[in-house]
Amino acid sequence: MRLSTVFATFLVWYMSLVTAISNKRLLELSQKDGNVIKLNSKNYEKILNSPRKSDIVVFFTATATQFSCTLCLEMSPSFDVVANSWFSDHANGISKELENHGLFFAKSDFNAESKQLFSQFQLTSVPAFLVFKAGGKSINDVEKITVATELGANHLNFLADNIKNAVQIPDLFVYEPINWGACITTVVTVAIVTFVLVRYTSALLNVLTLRPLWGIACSFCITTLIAGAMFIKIRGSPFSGMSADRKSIVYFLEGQLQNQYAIESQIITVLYSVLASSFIGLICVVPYIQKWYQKKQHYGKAAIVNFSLALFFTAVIYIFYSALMAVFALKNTGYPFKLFKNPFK
Amino acid sequence: MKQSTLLALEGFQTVLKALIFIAIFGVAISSRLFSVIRFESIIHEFDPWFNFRATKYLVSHSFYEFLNWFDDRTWYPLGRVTGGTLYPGLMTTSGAIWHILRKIGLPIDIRNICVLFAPAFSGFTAWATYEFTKELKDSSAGLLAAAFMAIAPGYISRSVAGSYDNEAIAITLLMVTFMFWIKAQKTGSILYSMLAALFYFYMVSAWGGYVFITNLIPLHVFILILMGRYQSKLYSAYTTWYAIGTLASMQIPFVGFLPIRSNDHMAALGVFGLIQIVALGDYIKSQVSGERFKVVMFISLGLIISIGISGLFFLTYMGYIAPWTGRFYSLWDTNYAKIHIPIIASVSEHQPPAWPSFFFDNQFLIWLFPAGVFLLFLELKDEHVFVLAYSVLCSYFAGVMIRLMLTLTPIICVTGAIAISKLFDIYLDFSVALSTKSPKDVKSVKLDKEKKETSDLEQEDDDYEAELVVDYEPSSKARWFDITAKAVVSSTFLMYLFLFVYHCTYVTSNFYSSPSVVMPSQNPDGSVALIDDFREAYYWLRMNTAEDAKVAAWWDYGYQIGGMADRTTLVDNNTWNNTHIAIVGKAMSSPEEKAYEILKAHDVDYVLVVFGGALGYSGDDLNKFLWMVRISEGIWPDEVKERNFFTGRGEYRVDADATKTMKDSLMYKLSYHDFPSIYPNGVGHDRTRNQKITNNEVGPLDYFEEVFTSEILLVRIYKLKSPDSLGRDHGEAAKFDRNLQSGVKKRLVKKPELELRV
Repeated sequence: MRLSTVFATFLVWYMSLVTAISNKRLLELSQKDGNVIKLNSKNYEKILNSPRKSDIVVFFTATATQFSCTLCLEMSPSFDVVANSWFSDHANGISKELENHGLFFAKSDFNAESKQLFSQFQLTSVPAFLVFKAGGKSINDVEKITVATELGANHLNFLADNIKNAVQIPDLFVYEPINWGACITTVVTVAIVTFVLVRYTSALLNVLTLRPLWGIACSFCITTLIAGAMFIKIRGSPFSGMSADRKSIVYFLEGQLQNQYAIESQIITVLYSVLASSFIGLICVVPYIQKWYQKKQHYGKAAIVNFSLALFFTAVIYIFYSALMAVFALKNTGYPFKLFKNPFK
Repeated sequence: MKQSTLLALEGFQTVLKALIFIAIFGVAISSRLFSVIRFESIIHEFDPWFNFRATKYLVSHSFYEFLNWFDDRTWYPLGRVTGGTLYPGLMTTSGAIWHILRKIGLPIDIRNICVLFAPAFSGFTAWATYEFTKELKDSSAGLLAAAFMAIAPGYISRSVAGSYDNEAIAITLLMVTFMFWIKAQKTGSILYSMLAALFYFYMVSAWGGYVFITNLIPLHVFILILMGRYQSKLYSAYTTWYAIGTLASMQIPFVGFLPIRSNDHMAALGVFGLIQIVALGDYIKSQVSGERFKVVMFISLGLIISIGISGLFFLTYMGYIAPWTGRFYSLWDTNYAKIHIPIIASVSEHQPPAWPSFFFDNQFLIWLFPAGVFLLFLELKDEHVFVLAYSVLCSYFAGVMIRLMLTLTPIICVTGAIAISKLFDIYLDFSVALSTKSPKDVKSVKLDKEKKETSDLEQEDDDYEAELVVDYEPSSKARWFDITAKAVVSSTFLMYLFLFVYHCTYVTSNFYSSPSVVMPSQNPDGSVALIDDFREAYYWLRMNTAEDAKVAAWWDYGYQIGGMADRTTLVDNNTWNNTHIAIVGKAMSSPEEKAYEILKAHDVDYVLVVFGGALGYSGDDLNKFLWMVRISEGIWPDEVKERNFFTGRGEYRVDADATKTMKDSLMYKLSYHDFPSIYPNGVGHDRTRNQKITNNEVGPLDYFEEVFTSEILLVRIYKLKSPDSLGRDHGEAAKFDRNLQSGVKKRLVKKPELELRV
């Protein structure tokens, strides 16, 4: 009886010794997975549910397309950058300033293999970050960190700040990697541009002094701006949405004057461009063609061409303007005006 | 044609123009009167209440007292150097009108002058737009532009009756300044550029947005120089404008030495320097040979630009030149404000507008705008460059900040009018139908034309319209085709113009004519009911509190409390002191006992909160609450944490799921105090956030007592309890009382039943 108790105690002690995860083991794991340990339902108990001497930052994500978690996809590289920066300074994963205090990174992607892990922490939304602090005894010693970022923002800064705050390791520095691809592209582009500039200076000058070209560029720039391009850039609106029953794609945020999807701007840019160019057609193209025919003494033809072109442009304007009004009525519910009424409805 | 017929026609045109102008004035003014007719002659929104209060101060004091006004009734206990920190243009103008009207025997209440100020000036804006557009094309385009300007909702949004804001006068001045600038630049006349400078001064005195002019005119000059279109006309116009305008603008106390010390103004100074060099270069060019001039030019330009830029950097680094202001930064770096200045990002008019806003404010002018810009490019006279720079720059600005839609609207009206008038030039010209020339005449005219064309190809574009008319004697069939095409095109566009008028009236009437102090709503039977809770509450404050009582409320209501209740406020819409605003935010987001301490330390007597839950008013304090938290977190990151106000799932909730920090916060308690108990089953329904509130969530209020709640619970006013008579802490005292009460209840039960003695 007594012996068994002693044995049981010994066993528990031994077990804890074995299960306590050493920094060395963590380092092995992270080296195997390329600095970020991959967690799934099988290995998480071993790694997280034991006394530890290191901070472990875990990034929960869902990259599968059916979740359409753009933020997850955007944040993933930033997380890798933080991990890589840490290991480039500390090859063994141990802080140089805090004695025997390590920092490791892990990541778990939501799929059949890691489902259990997600339910363990009752995670209902991704991306999520959990920090298992050094000195914690079990899987329940956990702290959730909220990374206040949004689509399209520079996630690295937010992420690095939040992780630094959570783990309190003074020598965690983040190095933004040099984007060699972009560098090479820039160099090549600059080279090509300089070459073209030097080789074809006079031709380029001719092009650059073409007024209609400038006019088109400016008008197009204005068109995109008044179609809400800046809104999308600042707010990072999603491209389009899903209907409430998740069955069809929605292109317009109906009934909202102050909000929009990205695709709305593209549709509106096209509408505005067609309207504006047809209008310019009415003013510049029609008289020009008429004059051209008249110069050739084809007076009858001139009249007919003038007539048909003018009617064509007017019809295009009417159709696209009615479309614009209809789209606007979608956004502004209760808008009383429309240009076109479907007679069959 | 005979001389007399021509004269008669001209006279007829003048009369017609005058009539059109009277009509435009009438339309501009009357379409802005919806709010006065529907509600009453009342000042709208928030900022106008300050302007109104300042104007009242101006007419009851002297002008110098006004400029030296130290206001101890706002920003308590700091006070505000109001005279030195406001743009006095608006107040002095209405003050002057008031004095003039009194002199001629029309003593009109200053409130009515303030209410009707914006509509009256919108008429002048239409006139300035006419003159401006006339310089660009002709008077018919000008008339169209004036009519558009009179009714475009983008401008009406800030100039309805009662919207007594700086913008009400600023847009008028903007257009007048631009008009004189275009005239000056075209003629080189010193008189016109001086007038431009004077109106620029007036503009500086009226609105902070003057920086737009400060940068746009130099940009115009700079582009002209780059295009090689430098002329001595440009030199005299710009230097006159810059010298007089800058000196004059420095006379405004609030502006002071900014024009030579702030980066916002450096572009104007830089172009001023550049044009001197260009003028010198122009002179040298006329003296030396071309080759040598090139060398001289390149070396001197390189030297000057490098010296200028490094000098600018050096002076900024040394602190002689102030770096760009926060609002300016947030225009270029769109994420800047969100990270560094939450107080700017929190204002709804600093948000980017989605595309419907553009269409809403300009209707079909918005797609004529790019077309008009393109048409101007085909001509590209010097003055057109100005419009193009304005268009591109301002559509970017309006895309970033919704409030700058106001400065975009004039140019949309101008370019739209130019486009439409070009269309009408071609398609409303039915003179073919009247043509009675014999074929012989035409032949000779045509031959002349052709000769001219071969000699001067450049002229071709300008002449084709004339050619069209006199070219040949059209057959009756061709004539029919021509007339039909013209009739169809022009009639559809007349229809669009009609639609535009309807749209503008609809938008103005339904969206831009609400005073937001009084809100319209509907009774169940469909009749109109007015929600007048704000004025009810402010009037209560005015009548029932001590004259020197201090009221703590979120800064949005500061001007209204000052204007309508005439009580001292801690913070107001001036937002000059972020820390002070953060103090109020901290009090609102702290637990009751801490909030009481903070507010007592600031000598506050009353706390006012706006609660829309009972009504479904979305602009209430709980919806703004996160900004209070954010702003105070910026100052005290250790004490206030935004995260604690969100549930574990990251939601902003106020019902049973709300976090403890949320439920303990003063704002929560003041908003929901006794709210559930007015519902029959004790479950309050917050209609703004669509959540259920029960008495379990709303803790007892120990340090504050409710003194006033308006009819629909929109405004709630609480008084800070005066110190306990036994010197106890209020929390302890209340706890003690509660225990006592429950004790009393128990004792009551124990009481022997007293039966009626017989």
